[in-house]
Amino acid sequence: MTASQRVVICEGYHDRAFWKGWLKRRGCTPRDTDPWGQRVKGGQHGWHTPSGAFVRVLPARGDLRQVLRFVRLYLRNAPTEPVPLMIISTDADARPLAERRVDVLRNIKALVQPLALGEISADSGDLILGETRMVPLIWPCTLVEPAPGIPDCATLEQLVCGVLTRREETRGRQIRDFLKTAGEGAGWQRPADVGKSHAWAWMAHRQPVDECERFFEAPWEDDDLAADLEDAMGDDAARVIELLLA
Amino acid sequence: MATNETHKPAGPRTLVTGVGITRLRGIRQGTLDGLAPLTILVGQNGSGKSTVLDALLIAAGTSGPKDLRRVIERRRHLSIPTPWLTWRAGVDGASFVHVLSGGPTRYVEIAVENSQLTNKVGVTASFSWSEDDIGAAYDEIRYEYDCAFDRHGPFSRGSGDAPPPLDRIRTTRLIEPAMGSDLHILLSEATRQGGRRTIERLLASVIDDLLSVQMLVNDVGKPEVHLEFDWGSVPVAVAGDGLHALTRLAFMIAAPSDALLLIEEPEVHMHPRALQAAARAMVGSVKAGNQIITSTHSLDLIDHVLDAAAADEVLDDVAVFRTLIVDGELRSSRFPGEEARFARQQIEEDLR
Repeated sequence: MTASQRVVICEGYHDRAFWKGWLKRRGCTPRDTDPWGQRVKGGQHGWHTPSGAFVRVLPARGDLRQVLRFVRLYLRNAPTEPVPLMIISTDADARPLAERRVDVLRNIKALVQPLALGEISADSGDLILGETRMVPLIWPCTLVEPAPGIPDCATLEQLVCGVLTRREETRGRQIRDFLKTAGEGAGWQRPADVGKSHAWAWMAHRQPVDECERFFEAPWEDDDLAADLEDAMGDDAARVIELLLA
Repeated sequence: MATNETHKPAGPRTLVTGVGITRLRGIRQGTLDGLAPLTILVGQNGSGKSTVLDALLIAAGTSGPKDLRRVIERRRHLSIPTPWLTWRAGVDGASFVHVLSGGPTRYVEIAVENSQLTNKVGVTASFSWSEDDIGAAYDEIRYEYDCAFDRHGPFSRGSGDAPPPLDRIRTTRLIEPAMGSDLHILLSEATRQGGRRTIERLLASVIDDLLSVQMLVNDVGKPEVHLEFDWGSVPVAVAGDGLHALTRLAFMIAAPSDALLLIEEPEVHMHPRALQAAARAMVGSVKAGNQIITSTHSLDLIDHVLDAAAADEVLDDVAVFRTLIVDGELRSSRFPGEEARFARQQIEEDLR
């Protein structure tokens, strides 16, 4: 059987940590080497799924543009190191979810066509190139009810903070109030009311002595929060995790 | 120092843009397209890198019978290497190779005949400019191996016209770290072609206090290449395997321009510092108008080539091909220089 890998290309280390928690929860175990015997390095994580597949999680350390550079790299590499499944994991940011998904797909098409790697086709809303199925996963805004403590922008921070706020509404309200109304004084400036500030405020509450990556990983270790996360992420995410684990 | 540096740099160029292979050695079928002025072939052992170099030497070679013999004999671990030039020793038929260049495509058919009557194995390479016309080849090269007496040859050329050189290629060389012509012959050629100063500069970058490279005559009257210092000189042959390999490489890639240089694992025996010098020399040779296609297992060499090409703003002239053979099919992944460098710097991608 020819060796292959499933690749998750995400934006940064926090996304990687979130994926780490998710994959561990679904029974995946860490792997130091890929199917070709090469060490998994360069900030990547390797995982072995219960079904025996190898999953590489790669933080692109940048926004969608940087993510797409790695998409191109792994598509180029696919003839010798096949990638039957590639997940492009990114934030919706200020865009509506559906619009962002279309945007990602359009960008991938534009990226692939000049490479002359083959014909690209669509299937179930995914893109297929050769043996590779490319599936965008946008950290979504399915938390329909605005709640205190949830950042406005549709990002990973919004997803995690939103789920935490459902369980600890009081803390969520405190964070919202703090970020909107805290006074400023000598040597002290109120943090900007953005997603990361919400996440740090939650982190100070839940993981005060851990590194911030633990903040994005740890919710998956709590049964209730994990269920809330999967619920909040919706059908797209459910499909993606099943594809990865199949 | 010699000052015979008359060559005017010609700039990077791609003499050969692609190669197609059918039933040659371990490759049943496959092509490499988009070869760059400086192409790096990487891949595991048995992934077809050396066979690609063989194919290029046969089809884009400029020395006819010598090239064919080199391809057959360089697999020295085989006592009778001839039949294994073809896929599965020829049971499925003859081998075919074609090379693409800026001009017409050259086609070669390689047939092996095993005569039990004469106990000889013969190889015939037939050249043509048309895929449909190989039977009416314009030239043939024949090689024989006498199994009974372990004797090679004779070589012969067909009665047709000599194969014209492939578009613009002045010379094609296969460079292996420990094989090929004597150093003094290579130095003479390089000097004649105006590359001596380049060689000395390259060697001086890795050998402290080197003054020059000289051809001297030893006690028994044979020419010997020496490294000269202010305290005296030493033969290159005793200067260590790494320096010997670097010297040989420097001599052979010092061609002025329009040379197709096929290099097999130049990193053998070399210290990383010498590899850096070798990489700079390779980029310099490409800038001078030669094309280099090299195989390697060295990440250091890949990084040094990419860095040197980036520094000289010729990263667009580099491509890394990762090769793989699956059921005899040659597969490849092509990374343009900029993307190969991105992969190395961003995620330490092990391009080998």
